[in-house]
Amino acid sequence: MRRILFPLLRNELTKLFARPRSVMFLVFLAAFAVISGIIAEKTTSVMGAYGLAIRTLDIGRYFVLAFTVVLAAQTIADEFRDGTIKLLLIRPRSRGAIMLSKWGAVVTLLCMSLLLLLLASLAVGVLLLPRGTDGYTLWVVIRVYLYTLPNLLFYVGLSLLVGVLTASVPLSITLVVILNFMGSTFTRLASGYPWSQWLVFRHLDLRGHDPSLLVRGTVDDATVGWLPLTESAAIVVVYLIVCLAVTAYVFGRKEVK
Amino acid sequence: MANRETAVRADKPAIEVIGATKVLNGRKIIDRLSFSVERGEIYGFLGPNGAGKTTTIRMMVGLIRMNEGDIRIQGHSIRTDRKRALAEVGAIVENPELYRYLTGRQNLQQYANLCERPIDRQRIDEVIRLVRLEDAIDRKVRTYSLGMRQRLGIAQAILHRPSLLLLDEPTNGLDPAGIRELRDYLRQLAREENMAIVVSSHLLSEIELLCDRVIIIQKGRFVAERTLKEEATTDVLSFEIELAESDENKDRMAQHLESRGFEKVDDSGRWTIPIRKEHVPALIESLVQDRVPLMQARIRTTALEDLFLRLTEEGIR
Ligand SMILES: Nc1ncnc2c1ncn2[C@@H]1O[C@H](COP(=O)(O)OP(=O)(O)O)[C@@H](O)[C@H]1O
Ligand SMILES: [Mg+2]
Repeated sequence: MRRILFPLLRNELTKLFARPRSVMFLVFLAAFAVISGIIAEKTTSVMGAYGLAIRTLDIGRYFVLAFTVVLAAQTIADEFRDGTIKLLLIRPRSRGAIMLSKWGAVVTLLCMSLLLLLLASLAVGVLLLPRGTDGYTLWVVIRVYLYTLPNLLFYVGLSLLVGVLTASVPLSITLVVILNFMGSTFTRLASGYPWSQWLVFRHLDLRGHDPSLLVRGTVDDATVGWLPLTESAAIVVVYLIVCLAVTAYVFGRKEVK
Repeated sequence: MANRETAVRADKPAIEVIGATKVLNGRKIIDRLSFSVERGEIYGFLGPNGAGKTTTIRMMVGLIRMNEGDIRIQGHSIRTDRKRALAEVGAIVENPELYRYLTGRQNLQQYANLCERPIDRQRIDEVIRLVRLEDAIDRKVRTYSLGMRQRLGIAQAILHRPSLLLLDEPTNGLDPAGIRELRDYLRQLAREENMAIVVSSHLLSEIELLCDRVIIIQKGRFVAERTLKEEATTDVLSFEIELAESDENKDRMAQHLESRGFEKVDDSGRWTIPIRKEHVPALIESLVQDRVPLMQARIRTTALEDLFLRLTEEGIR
């Protein structure tokens, strides 16, 4: 397993970071954390470093979502456009492993982005907002960050699937934006019906499961199913696995002309 | 156990194409094509544009599926034993596929990571020297010339010491010096690494000095296969003479030449005859003795070249 996936993952990471866009994005995120800190310092008196980290994530998660979704579709579209897809496919590697390594590379960047966002906003918060009284703790912050993961992981997987089906970046991003927007509206409408708990959209924001109001924030009960956290997370995992499996299957059947 | 299975089967041809057929949009692009190539051999895969060379190579490396038939590499079927078959192949399909934003060395490392068996630094340095890219290897591929990309592509394709090297029109975009250089190190590879090398081309002249054997295909079908080794002097040549014709000798000469098996090319006094190479001196001697007014005499083409030119012209039409 490690012998197979590790070299492939290293290849994907090399390609991801060989071009300036990934690094530029990380720089942009750090700058965004600094600007959020400066604005908070000017406008509020209660917010502390932890509160800033959560506030930064509220908007920052959409930056991360958009960037990683585009990147996922792009890693596939680029290989087809440049013809390098042939290089990947005429080597004795399974196409499933190639897909998994692409997903893994984008997820690595995703985690780096969240970590950077967290550390940068904490650092800025400690410097600029040393006397916050908002009641957040580090453990609350960590939970909030972790709860955003299923959403991001799922959409990156979905974007890979659309990328393989269409080799089109615009289509991927459009679909993800529409689903992200329509999905929550739709689940709210369907939330009265028992079958709606099987929809992945109900489980993409796990914050609603947390007992602490500080974590839940504005997430209302309607979007949260009545399944416990672990089962909610399991549903997301199942959807993600199906998504990656379909991607690997379609990719495996594809004729490259 | 695993060792024996993955070992190269020495008794098998490097590649066997067995009745491969590809149908696209209801049209047979490749029609029951069969041939095989041994290790150490350089095999020319000839055909006019659109004959189906690239399609065949794509089937060989599993980029597209075939509708009928099979392709076996060192005895491993590309249909049922893809991984083991591909472990034995290095290929350039149409263009060398390189990441332009990576350096030459990074590209080789990418390829190395895609291989089953680990490839060490020494091997990477060795192939860099072999294709003479030492000076440019740490530059981005974006800055490479076409010839350098071609060479880096070959370096990639031989990195894992395959028993079969497939090159699709490698002479495209190379100047005569580049073609000569390519010829030199392909010969070296066939000899030193005991590789089977399949080189496709739509121009016989560009690969005839390179290949031990050639196959000609047209519209996806087998046309001919020939051995090109020097010792194959039994091949029939086309021998051409041009006469200093005048009105009074014209008819007499025509009669005389026709009786000897010559054929008229056109009305400019040129005649050809199919003949074996070793019979050429005797023929010239007898023509001189018969006082045939020769302007010039030359070996025009080999029979293979004749066949190929005819095919190619048909292909263009
Ligand atoms: N993707 C495709 N769809 C339909 N026909 C194709 C496709 N690719 C190639 N062909 C046809 O297959 C034939 C063989 O093409 P190809 O293998 O590229 O020839 P060559 O490499 O010998 O020039 C041509 O007639 C071409 O028109
Ligand atoms: Mg071709």
